[in-house]
Amino acid sequence: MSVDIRGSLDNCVKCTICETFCPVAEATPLFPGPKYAGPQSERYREPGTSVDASLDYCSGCGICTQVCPQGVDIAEINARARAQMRTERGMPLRDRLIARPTLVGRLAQPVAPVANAVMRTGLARRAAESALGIHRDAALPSFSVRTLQSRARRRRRPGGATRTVVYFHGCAANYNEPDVGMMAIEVLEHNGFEVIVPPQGCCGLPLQSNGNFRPARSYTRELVSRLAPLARDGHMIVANSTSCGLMLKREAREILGIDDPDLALVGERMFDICELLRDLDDAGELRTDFHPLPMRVPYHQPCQGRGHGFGKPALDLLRLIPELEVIETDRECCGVAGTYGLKKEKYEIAMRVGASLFADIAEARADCTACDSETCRWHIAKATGVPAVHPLELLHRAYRL
Amino acid sequence: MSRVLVVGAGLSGLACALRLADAGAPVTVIAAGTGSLQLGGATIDLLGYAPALVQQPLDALAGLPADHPYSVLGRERVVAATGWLAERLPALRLRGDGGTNMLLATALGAVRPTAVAPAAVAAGDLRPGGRVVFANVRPLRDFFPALIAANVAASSEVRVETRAAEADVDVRGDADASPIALARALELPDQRARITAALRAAIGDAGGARVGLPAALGVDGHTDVAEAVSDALGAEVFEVPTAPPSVPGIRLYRALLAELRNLHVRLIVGSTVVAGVRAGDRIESLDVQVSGRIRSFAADAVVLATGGLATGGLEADRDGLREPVLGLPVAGDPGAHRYDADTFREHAVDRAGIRVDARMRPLGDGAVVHPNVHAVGALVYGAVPWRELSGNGLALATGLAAADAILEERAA
Repeated sequence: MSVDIRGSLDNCVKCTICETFCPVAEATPLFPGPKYAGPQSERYREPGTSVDASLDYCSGCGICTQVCPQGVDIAEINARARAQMRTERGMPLRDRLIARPTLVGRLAQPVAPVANAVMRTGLARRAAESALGIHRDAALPSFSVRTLQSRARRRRRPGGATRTVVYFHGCAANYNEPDVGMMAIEVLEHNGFEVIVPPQGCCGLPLQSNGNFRPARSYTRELVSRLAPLARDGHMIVANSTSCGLMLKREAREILGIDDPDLALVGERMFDICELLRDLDDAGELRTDFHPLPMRVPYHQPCQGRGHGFGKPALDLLRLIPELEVIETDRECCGVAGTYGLKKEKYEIAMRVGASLFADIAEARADCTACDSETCRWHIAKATGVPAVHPLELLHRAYRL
Repeated sequence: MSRVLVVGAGLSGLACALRLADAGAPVTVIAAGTGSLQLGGATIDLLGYAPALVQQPLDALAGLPADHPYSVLGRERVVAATGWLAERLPALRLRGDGGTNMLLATALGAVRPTAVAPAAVAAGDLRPGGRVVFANVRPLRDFFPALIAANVAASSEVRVETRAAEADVDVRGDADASPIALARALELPDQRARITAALRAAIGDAGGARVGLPAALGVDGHTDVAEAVSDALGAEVFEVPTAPPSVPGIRLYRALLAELRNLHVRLIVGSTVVAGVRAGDRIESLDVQVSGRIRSFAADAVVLATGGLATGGLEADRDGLREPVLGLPVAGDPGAHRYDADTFREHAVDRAGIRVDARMRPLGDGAVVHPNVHAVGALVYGAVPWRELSGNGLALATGLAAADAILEERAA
């Protein structure tokens, strides 16, 4: 299905609803708002004439598209225009580097303890800030000594599986948080799935959000070539990163413009892990042998989670756990938006965007915060000093796996 | 698991969902985007013109045609719906009960009747007369106090002495600030002090006059902001609706959504319902375009709160009107012959919509089309909300009637 993203701007009636939701426009006058940057400016854009640099301050959270009552693809228009601007005005080295988590992961993983120790020093962070423009206080992940791929290969598989699912773990679970990946596998296995973990790389999302479309497309295509045969065999694919899952469901087509039946098939078979588990629960097929978790946990849905169009499945699942007090936060964005909040010139904006969420978490006197997206978790944990976990970590704990 | 599916996130859909959730029904709200609450002034217009200015709206219902939705519902339901929102959401501090209309100034200085309004808006009721200063903070766009003051003074409906004042204040450096930007600035004590000081200087001694300000007296902290601004100006203040975005509308939308969240209603904003799947004469599920695929949502009952022609609840092509989700029969369709030389006269298309019974079930040839489907709000046939000033009153009354019908059916 090809999509006419640009043509949707004709539907804009200038109702301003997107402007009232945009968390970046609220935090800084440097971004004039989605309506202005999107449908209004787009009419004047043509190849070679990017009309304004303020577009660079859009974080790509996508709320504008979701709330638009007229079906204007505002965030997608802006993402494409930003890529065009980057092509014309050049791409900083930083934006090329931080947008390649597989490359960074492959370099850092063999020397993980050293890399982690070095990157924890103030000196290294100041050097990274002045040389690369990565803000010294931005939350950066640490690297794991063993990748998820290697741990998954060596794990003991339980027998008695009644169905299969393909696990798309993404870069963060492979290089930074293999524990989260293992928990995803174990929760799925507990629910009777045989979990297939195929070799896989980056989905291309960080490059896309940094406006670097050409290499983003090749990452997406490479990943799709690995997942499509499994999808053709009828397997469901499950992702625990809401943003990477969304990339394959929708953004690779609508933003990168990849019009490919294999991608469409992978997107159609792609489920967020909480979406899949809640569907099981709705069908009465989820194992609910949860032990009580007497904790107080605010749940923040990441922006990309809203883009799926499935409500808040993580929240529905956490409410199944006895004695777990889940507090639904109602904030649009934590501010980091993938790699946006890492950047020297945008870090302060990201902190202002997240300020009300951080205040909610502090006020809740929480044991931990739950959030589905890894970069959001790192940012929220750093900003609040309260640990942030994937909702499935709480499910895993309540199952006592 | 089957749930009640409410399609649309305007006032009729959200009110219906809240009533259902209050009674314990599992509800999913699916909306293509945020509803139009953010565009309107958060007043509940019950009946403003019929066709002359209406002073007692509930009493005037008896004079409406038999196929008007209010007539289909009956007076009792309309009375109950009018009071429901104020009682259910006391934090909104709604004033008015539908007994008499208040008269409020619009952003153009027209005088409009409404039945129920938030306290800060209702404080601008012009019926008591007296003196009013309309004032603005200059960078706020599309708000002209001199125009408002002159038009209100010239109105034959009210006897008010008016004047205008404008303060030049920096609001975040914006050349043309939006109401939401001003509202957020007014929530910060230091910004508020700066802005109100400039306003006070521009107004001078209010001398007992009320001060009408653009409706931007805070968002979440509205009550406190309104009080602080009133204290700072040494005058009673009220809010005059602005061009969109409407801050009172945002407050209403947020308040409704917060209640729905507390009741664990599933909210899906940004996805479009593309079709309904029939089983006999019932609709057993809706197909929804979500990310990556069409997803089926099982339905116990369906409420269509998709709005009228302006918001996609009805679609028009050269041959006529259609209802795009379920293909329901559209009543009052002028068909292909709809050219009318008199642009400002009421047009046949204004009244067009889905004809319903008292349980808000769509009718075709006088018979119920789908027993588990309900149509509410601007989608319903028979009213001309823009002319009658009846939009939100109809939204509430029809939305709640559908909820009650569904609850009765579930209990049976």
